[in-house]
Order: sequence, then structure tokens, then C-alpha cells
Amino acid sequence: MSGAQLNEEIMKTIRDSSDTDKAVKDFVIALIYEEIKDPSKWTEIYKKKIDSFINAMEDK
Amino acid sequence: MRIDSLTMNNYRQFKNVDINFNLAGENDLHVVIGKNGTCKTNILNAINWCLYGDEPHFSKESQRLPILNVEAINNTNDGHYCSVNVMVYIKTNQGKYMSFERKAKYKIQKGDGKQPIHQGTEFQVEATDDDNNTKLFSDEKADKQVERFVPKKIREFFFFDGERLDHYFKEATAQNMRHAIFNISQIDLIERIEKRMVILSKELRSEAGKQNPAIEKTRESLENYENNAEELVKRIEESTKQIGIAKEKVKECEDNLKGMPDVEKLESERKKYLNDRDQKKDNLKEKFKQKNSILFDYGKIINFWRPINQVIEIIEDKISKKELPPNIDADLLNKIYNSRICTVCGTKLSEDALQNIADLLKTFKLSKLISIELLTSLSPLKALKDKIEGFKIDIEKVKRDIIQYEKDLAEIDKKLSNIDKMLSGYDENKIKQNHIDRKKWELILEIEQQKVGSFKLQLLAFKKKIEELKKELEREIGREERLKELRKKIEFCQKAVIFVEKIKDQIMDQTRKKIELRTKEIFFELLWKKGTFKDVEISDSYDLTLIHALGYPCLGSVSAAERELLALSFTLALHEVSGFNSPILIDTPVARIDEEHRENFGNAFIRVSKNKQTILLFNPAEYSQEISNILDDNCSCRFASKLMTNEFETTLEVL
Repeated sequence: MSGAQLNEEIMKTIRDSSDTDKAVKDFVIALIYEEIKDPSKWTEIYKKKIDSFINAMEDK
Repeated sequence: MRIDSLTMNNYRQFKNVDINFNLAGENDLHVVIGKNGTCKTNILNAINWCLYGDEPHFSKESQRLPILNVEAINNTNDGHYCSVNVMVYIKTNQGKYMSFERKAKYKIQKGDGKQPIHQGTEFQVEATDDDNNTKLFSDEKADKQVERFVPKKIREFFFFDGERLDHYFKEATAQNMRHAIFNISQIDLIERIEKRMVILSKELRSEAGKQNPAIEKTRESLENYENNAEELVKRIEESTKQIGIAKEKVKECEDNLKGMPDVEKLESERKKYLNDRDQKKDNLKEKFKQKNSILFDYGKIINFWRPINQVIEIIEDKISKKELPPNIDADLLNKIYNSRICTVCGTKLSEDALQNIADLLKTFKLSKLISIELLTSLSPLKALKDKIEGFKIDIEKVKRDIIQYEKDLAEIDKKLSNIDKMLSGYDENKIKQNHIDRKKWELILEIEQQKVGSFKLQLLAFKKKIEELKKELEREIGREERLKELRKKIEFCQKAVIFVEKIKDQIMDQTRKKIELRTKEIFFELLWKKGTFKDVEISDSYDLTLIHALGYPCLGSVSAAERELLALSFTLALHEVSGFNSPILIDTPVARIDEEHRENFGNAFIRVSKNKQTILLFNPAEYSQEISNILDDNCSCRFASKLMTNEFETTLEVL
């Protein structure tokens, strides 16, 4: 991992997963990046992410 | 990453010590040799204290002593302050430097039994970024920098006592292996997301429930099932943990009993043999009685053997000569002769007739009565003769039985003596206790396995019901136009949770397979006996198995050196798969390995150190000639730790 905190294998497994919506995959990846920061106010962050991903899906 | 240097000021016996782990040559191998008591292990503790704020390799007694160097305390005036600090300098893979420094301040109190008063601890990290700007981190941010080097939860795979390698597969039950893989593959991060998404999903459903009582009813029912399912998962985990412990304990008992006699079995055999012996002794006594009785019974008639035979011969001779039974009654002839009158016709007999009767009487030797006696005694006499013939058979049988019982008794005595020999020299109570414990843990194992089976079945039923209720809830929420937005969010969250669960399982499996492959590759690369083993397997249930070249599992019967090498290979595989290419530091790495294999182990460390910084802390006895021959010319640095005469200070000399 060479000093980075994230296990790249997780990201690769998510990206390679074929039977899931891209939006869900991107959402989980976004959450992983948030989790690396170990957020104290996770509820707000998660709720915002849910809203923004649903809005993005509807905009498409 | 590698540790460039370690500085210890006033840290326990290290007053002012710098250790520079300079890289020289192709092996990043560093050796510290120090007698026990020279605080060699404190190097391991100093690194832990600096990075994580604790000293896991101390006994509880040692931890009660002040961390502050005793001489520093003595040299500080009462009421004044003194500090201990440890700095670890790291060189990253990108060639950047990082320093970790932990400093604890103490107020000195002079007087009997008075300990320095801790004033506070600071931890800070200094790091250069890609633009070569120096940044200073403290508190939580500093801790996060440590996590980039070696995360606390997996540090035991990087800095540890060599004993850990020896005990590795006693401790590394499937549960522990799973836990290690879970930690190093960062599944905890994914799991955290899963848990948080589940909480949010519940919150969203709860919001929907507030809008409609029917929805609330279904939601409540769903939540009940979910809670029950969660409880079952916890129980399964708990039972699985118990299974792991029970397996470990059974193995421990089996290891303890290896080569030991099975006392319980032997005692049960001994009891059986003692009973047998008593029984056989009784039988033998009975046979002797029988023999005596036969001798007594037959003794009487055996004395008359010859007369009986003679009488039988005489009678049979007389019968053959038609003398028996007699044709004429001699008594009647005597009566006629004496009366001189025929008792049949009543006529007086002539002199010639009388002479004839007298002649006839002379031919009769036996009277009628005697003849009858003789004839009637023939059968009993023959019976007696037959009985005497039976004596031989009876006495032979009894003799044979007696010989057999005596043989059996000798055999039983031999067996009893063998059992006594087997049991002598062993602590019977300890062995017995191990047998009792093994039975106890085998029973626990069985019970817990049954529980897991039953819980899993219940869980399956609950999951089915949960899916049904989720669909029902979805339908109910879908019917309410005003809950449209909420429904979208719930659906999205559910999809995310399902996806995260799937990813979690996949990563666990991938990581397991990778560690299995790398453990195998490293083990076979480092192993000195190439043809002995065929494979290393980590099963789906995380049991590690070493397969012999002949195809059977053999982890329990390999030498300590081979077992430790497998543990080291597994540890190195964990390093690789975790992505943390950080150093490995082992205290007393070969203490439990016999002389014969130390050379092999030394060579293994040389190979490991070509790709990874390896710091080994030896005591002089452990750093035997075999190890010295191998490592002296191949390591980058060698140090000797020495305790000063005042016993408060340890110095390190470069060798």
C-alpha cells in the first residue's frame, strides 16, 4: 500500500463487480473515501451522499 | 518503509542511546545481541511505546516500575522535572523521512517508595510531503500517521517475540486466522459502512412508519426479526469462537499427551487384568481341588485295579467255558445224593446212580449262590474298570486346565508389570487431567457445533421472513405517494447494503486465497528440505494445514523449526497482502529452535532481509556459532547491548 491507507484490492473488487448499478458502486467507493477520513459526523455525511447520488441518478 | 534509526532518552535502562540501522550490502538485516536483563526486549517495547503508547512485552511487575531511567531520576532534584522520550525515524518507500516522537514528562519526588508523578505525554509526527515541505502532526492526526506505517491492530505481525512463532499454530485457530485476515484486508472499513447503512435504513423506515400505522406495524415486525437475526449472528459468532477455543484446547491436550501413556486407558486395563487375575486364581484353586478330588476318588479303586481285572478275567473265563451260569443245580444234586431218592420221580437210586451223582458233583466248583454272585458282580466290576479308564482322561483335562490357568496368570502378571513400567516416570495426575480436559473440550466442541448448526437453520428461516417483510414494507410504502422520496432512499440504501455484504465476502475470500498462495510460496522458498512437504492450505473456515509429500496433513508432527518457518511465512504473507511493507522485528527469534536448524533459520532470515528490513534481537546463547557463521558476514549492522556496572544503564556497541 506504500504509505496509502486504502487497500486497493477493495476498490478493484468493487469496480470489477459486474452485477451492481454503477451508482451503487460509486456510492460505496465515495463512502470508503469518507471512512478513511474516519468522520465523526458520519450520519450527516452519509445522508448527504445518499441524497446526492439519488439526485444524480434522477438527473440522468 | 524501514526504520532508519531509534533514539531513546531516559527510556528505562537506555539513558541516551541512538541505534542507526544503516543499510550496508544487499541484506537489510540488523542484529542486536544482549544478555537477558540487558534490556534487549526494551528495544521492542520502546518502538511500541513510541508508536502506540504502550509496552506489550513487559511483565505486569515491570510495568509498575517507572518508565523513566533510574539514574535520570537520581540526578534530578526533588520537585524538578525529567522527561523520557523515544523517537523512531522512518524512511518511506518514496525516500521521504518521517519521525515519530513520544515524550512523557515526570515530576520527581525524593523519598522512600515515592514514584515520579506523570505530568503528561506528547506524541508528534514530523513528515515531509511530496513538495518536501515538513508537516507536524499531533494527537489524532499523529496517530493516523502511525496507521500509515504499521496499524496498531496488526502490529503483532510486525514487532513480536519469537515465542509467538513457536506458539503460532496453537494460537492461530481458524478464528484467529480469520481475525488477522479481516484486519489486514481492511474489511473492518467495509463492515463499518455496512453497519452505518443498516442504521440509516432503519431510520428511514422508522420515518415512513410515523406516516402510516400499517407501515409501522410491518416495520416493527421487520425490526423484531432483524434484531432476532442479529442476535443469532452474535450467538453463531460466539459459538464459533468457542469452537475455535475448544479445538485449540483439544489440540493442546493432544500435544501434551503426545508420547504420554493413556493413563485412564491403562488404569482401566490394569483393573480389568486385576479382575481377570483374581478370577483365574479362583479357577486355578478350583482346578486343584478338582484334581485332588479326582485323585481321592480314583485312589480307592486304583488300588484294586489288578484284583478287579483278575476277577473280571476269571468270570469271563468261566463264562467262556460255559461254567457260568451253571446248567445243573449242585445243591439239588447234593440233596438227591444225601436222600438217595430221586426228587423228580420218587424212586430209590441205585449205587451206580449215586456214583454218577458223586462224579457229577465233583465237576461243580461253584455253588449256585456263588455263581450268581459272580455273574451279578461282573457289571459293577466292569463299570469300575471303565471308571479307572476315565481317570486318565479326567486327570489329563484338569492338568491341562491348570497349566492353561498358570500360563494365563503369568501373562496377566507380565501385562500388569508392563503397565506399571509405562506409568512409572510420568506424572499420572497431570496425564489424567489432560485426558479429562480433552474429553471436556471435545464435548464442548460437539455442543457448540450443534448449536451453530441449529442457529444457522433458525437464521435461514428468519432471513426468509425478513425478505418477505421487506417486500411487504416496500409495497406498503410504495402505495403512499407522499412517501415516494423516502422509498427511493430506502431502496437505494438496501441495494448498497447488499452490495457491501457481497464485496465483504469476496474480499475475505480473495485475501484468504492470496495469503494461502504467498504463505506456500514463501515457505517453500525458505524451506531447507524441499521434498518433504507438498502443499499449504488455508481452508474456507480458515484452518491452516501443511500437507506432507505423501499427501497427509502433518502440521502436528513437524519439527519446531519447520513449524516456526511456516508461521514466519504466514506472517510475511500477511505483510505483503496487507500492503504494509514495514519492517519485521523479532525478539529471541531462534530460542526454541535446535542447533541443527538454526543455520537453516539464519539463511531464511538472510533471504527475507533482501526485500524487507529485518531486526533480530538475540541473547548470546541463542546467537550460537551456527547462527554467527551465517549472519555475521551477511547483516548490515550488529550491536551488543551491555548493562553498565551500576545496573541502571544499558549501552549499545556496534560490533
